[in-house]
Amino acid sequence: MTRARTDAPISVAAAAVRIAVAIVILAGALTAAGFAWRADRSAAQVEQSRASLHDAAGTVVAEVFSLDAARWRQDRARAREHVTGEFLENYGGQLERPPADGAVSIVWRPEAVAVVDAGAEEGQALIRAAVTVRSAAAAEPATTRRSVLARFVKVDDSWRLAAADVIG
Amino acid sequence: MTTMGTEQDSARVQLARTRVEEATRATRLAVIAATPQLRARALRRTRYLRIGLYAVAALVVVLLVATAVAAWQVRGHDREAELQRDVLASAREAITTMLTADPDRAGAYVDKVLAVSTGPQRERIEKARDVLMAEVAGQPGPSVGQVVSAGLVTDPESDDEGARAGVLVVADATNPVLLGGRPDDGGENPGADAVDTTAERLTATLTMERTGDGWKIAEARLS
Repeated sequence: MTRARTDAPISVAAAAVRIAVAIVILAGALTAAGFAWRADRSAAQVEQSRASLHDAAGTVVAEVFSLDAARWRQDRARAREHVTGEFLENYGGQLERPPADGAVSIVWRPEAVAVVDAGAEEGQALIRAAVTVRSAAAAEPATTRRSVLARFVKVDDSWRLAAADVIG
Repeated sequence: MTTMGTEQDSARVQLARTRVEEATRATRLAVIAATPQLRARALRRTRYLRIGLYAVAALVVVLLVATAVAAWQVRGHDREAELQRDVLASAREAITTMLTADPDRAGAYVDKVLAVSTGPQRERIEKARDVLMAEVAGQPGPSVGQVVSAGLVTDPESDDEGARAGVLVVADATNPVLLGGRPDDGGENPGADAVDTTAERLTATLTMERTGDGWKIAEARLS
């Protein structure tokens, strides 16, 4: 009996109904999968960005603020490669000058990098760095510690400094 | 003449009937002969439709599994982000608690600090309880603390009890001694310095540990 029903050909109307239902279900499943895939990809990107920001923030800050009087133009040019247009607009003047107050060299050495907030394209990090200043007037270099709250923007898959405030 | 005409008409009608009957018979025979092929074609089309529907069903199952896996992963990412926010919120709250003290309620202050501490930090506070109470009681007025910024140096690996996370925090404090020492003495002598009622910016590295009662400070070092 069952075999006879299974083997029986179905009418055109019944076939049309089945095809329509299948299309609706398939469209629903594709939409749900698309949304879930996009959400997963977005969350994964944020996580990767967060990790890459943690790795890059200290180095970028050190590259931007470290300076040697003997080659300050090259150092400033290198610094400009690590900042955004926004940073240049706000602090660009500082990246055109030699070290101030008779400093021979300024070296920023990051000691701790903390991610405050991170998105896929933008993030904020708190950096604790030892800043060693050698000056012509003093025989010994002076080292102080600074906390910098810095905002970064991702440009061409690398983090660039958009703003920096020494907050401690 | 009329009779002859009637007979001729009758013969034509008879011939037509015969032809109709033959045509009908031929049609029936043709249908009967074609029935297996028509049935076979209908069955073939039904079979193709059924195979197509099975394929769609399989594809839907695959898509649903993929959706479930992606949703589970998104939930995992959300949980991690929530965990990170939770650690930072606990660190901010703990630092504010540690830096906010009323000299008239020195005992209550130490109890609150103990409530946000665990492990070595809690032991240190318990050992230095009397010193800390004297420090607070000796303040000319209430001290306050406010977190300026905080971030995660190391993310919490899980939300299980005993899990740890590193936090870097910058805060304003009217009495930084309460966090274990002045910024320039490395935290070696809690309570050794005089009370400084001028707000001071300090940076501390915290180790937060998950306890049964939330995230607490296991270690605090001024840097």
